[in-house]
Amino acid sequence: MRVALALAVALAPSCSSSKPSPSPSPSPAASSTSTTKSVVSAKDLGPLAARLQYEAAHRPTSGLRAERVLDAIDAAGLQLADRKQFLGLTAHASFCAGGTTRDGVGISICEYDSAAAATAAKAYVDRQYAFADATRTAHGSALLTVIGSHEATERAVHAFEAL
Amino acid sequence: MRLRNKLLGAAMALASTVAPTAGWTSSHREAPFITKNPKVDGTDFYIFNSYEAGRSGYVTLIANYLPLQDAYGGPNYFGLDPSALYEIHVDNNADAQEDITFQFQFQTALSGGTGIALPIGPSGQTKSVAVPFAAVGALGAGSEGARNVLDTYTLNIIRGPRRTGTSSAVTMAGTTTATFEKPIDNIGSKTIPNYAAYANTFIYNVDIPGCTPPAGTHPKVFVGQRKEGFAVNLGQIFDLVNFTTANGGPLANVVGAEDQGLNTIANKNITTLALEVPASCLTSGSSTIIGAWTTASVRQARVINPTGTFSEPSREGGPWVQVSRLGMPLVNEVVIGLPDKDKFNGSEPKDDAQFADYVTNPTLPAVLELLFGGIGVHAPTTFPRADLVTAFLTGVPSVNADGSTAELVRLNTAIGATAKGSQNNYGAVGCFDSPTASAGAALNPTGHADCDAAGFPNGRRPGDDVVDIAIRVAMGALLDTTHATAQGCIHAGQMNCLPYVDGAGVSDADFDATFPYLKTPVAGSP
Repeated sequence: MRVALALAVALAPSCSSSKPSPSPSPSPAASSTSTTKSVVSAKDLGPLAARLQYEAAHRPTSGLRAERVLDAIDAAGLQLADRKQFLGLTAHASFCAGGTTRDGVGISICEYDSAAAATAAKAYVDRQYAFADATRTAHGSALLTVIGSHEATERAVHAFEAL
Repeated sequence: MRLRNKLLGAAMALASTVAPTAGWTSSHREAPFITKNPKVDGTDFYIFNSYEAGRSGYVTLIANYLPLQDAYGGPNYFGLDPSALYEIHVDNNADAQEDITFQFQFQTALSGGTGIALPIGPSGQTKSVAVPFAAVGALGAGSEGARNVLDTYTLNIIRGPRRTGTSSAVTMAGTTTATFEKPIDNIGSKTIPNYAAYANTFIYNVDIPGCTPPAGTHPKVFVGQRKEGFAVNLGQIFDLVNFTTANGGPLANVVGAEDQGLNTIANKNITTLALEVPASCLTSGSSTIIGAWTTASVRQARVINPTGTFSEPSREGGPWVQVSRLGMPLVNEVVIGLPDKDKFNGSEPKDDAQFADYVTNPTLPAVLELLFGGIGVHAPTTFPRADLVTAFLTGVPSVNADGSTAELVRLNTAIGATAKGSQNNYGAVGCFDSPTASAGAALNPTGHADCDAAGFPNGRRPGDDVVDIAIRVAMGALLDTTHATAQGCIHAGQMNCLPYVDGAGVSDADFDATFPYLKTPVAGSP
């Protein structure tokens, strides 16, 4: 915990930073538009930040990108207060991001190398981190997790699956 | 798979880079400076209405020191510091300053002044040579002739400020004897065949000046080694390697079973300073609420003796300086930032406003979100965190709030104890209604079968699982669901919450039903 706390002291400000990501520019396969909001990644924050930067620098070169999914969900009326990078390893993912809306809907999107990897990861996460309030949906090579009302979850999932 | 292995390898490297030599325990080696002074490192502090049969009306106070003792740590084992003050403070008028202090001071001596010696050499030419061991024969209840190192202590009660108040000696009941003995640590079964019976002879009935106990009873004191009572999954829960099963081995699931067998300090020992005092001797006026904490202090200066002896390896001088402070569990670990941990250890509750930002804007939830956000964990979004101020700094209104704002353990002595076997290890957390989208958890002590108002945070009992409670509260268990999307659960089966755990369970079943409650220490040899 002392580790976590020490990291937290360093990480917390950056997690809410509005500075643009220093991580690699989107791959050619990314379909983000110029109006797409970036995901803030941690930097200069010690070993865990290095791990996060590693994940940010090794995102899949094809498939759904987190920014695009979050843009679609945003357009569906579920705007995140902040977009944050999460540790992908937890979900067996290459990269994860997300946040919380002002109405209290939690959104997480993780990127995988393939659709099969996303499906396998969903099975793993459902088994290892089972909780009834989370709705997890694998689509293409991405995995969406929504915690919120039934209506909000449906909207987010619909926007996700339409991509 | 190759990438996965690479990721895992990177994570392991990362974990090994940042992992401390000792991990997250309640207050074990929690601040940089205290790691240099383990003998005065306070680790856990308990205060609760005694639940031993026949001891109603008493409050038990337990301060643990000297963390992570391996039972085999001979030949010197784990004596306390004769140059230090170990203190338990009680505030009974809600000003966050001590009104009563129980002050322990230790003395260590060799048997007979020079230690046990043996005649060595041929007949007629023997030399008397001191042995190198702490004991040279079997010890038992009332039989300590073979003990080579003798530990004793005095206990004073100080009314008023700890350094300028009125000090009186606590004495053995019915006597004027003011020196108590501390049992030798649990060396092993050959030296001490029945350690439990041996140690029990060091539980003293005492007289406390100015304190009238219930008729036919006496306050008690015990100082000695005990089995570590704190339970925690050291390191794994925040170790990145923990989040994948690819490497096998025991792994904690943060939303898995409450007890996953991952208490990594289960076989450690600790040194306990335990008191049992009538509640009426601790409270003041009509208030039944007291706040308490423990500290250790050393002299400001220490000069190493270049020709050190057993009795004088160094010389200390100057004013007392507080180097360890412990009240609520986990505060100096998961709340206070690294730059201020030693400052916190030297501080007093009345000055806690200087640490307020750590409570109102905590970092722990942000870290949990960072690590677990991919699977749906999100930090609460409301600031300042008034719920944490209530949990850590003021106490719960109508339960143990006393009007002060400071970090100490508050106990309402009027709330009856819950007997061993009936305690809820999530303490008084179950006394709250589940939050709604628009309202945080409201206190409803009569509305829930799992309400155990005699438990943490109304005081703290050994069997209260404060790690799980702390994680859940930090993750917004008391907040409305709009501002805590993935909040910790209060009740089993509650919806819209996550049952965060560390995988190291603890309950009243892990402790004795009688003073000093903590179990007989692990033996140094079978």
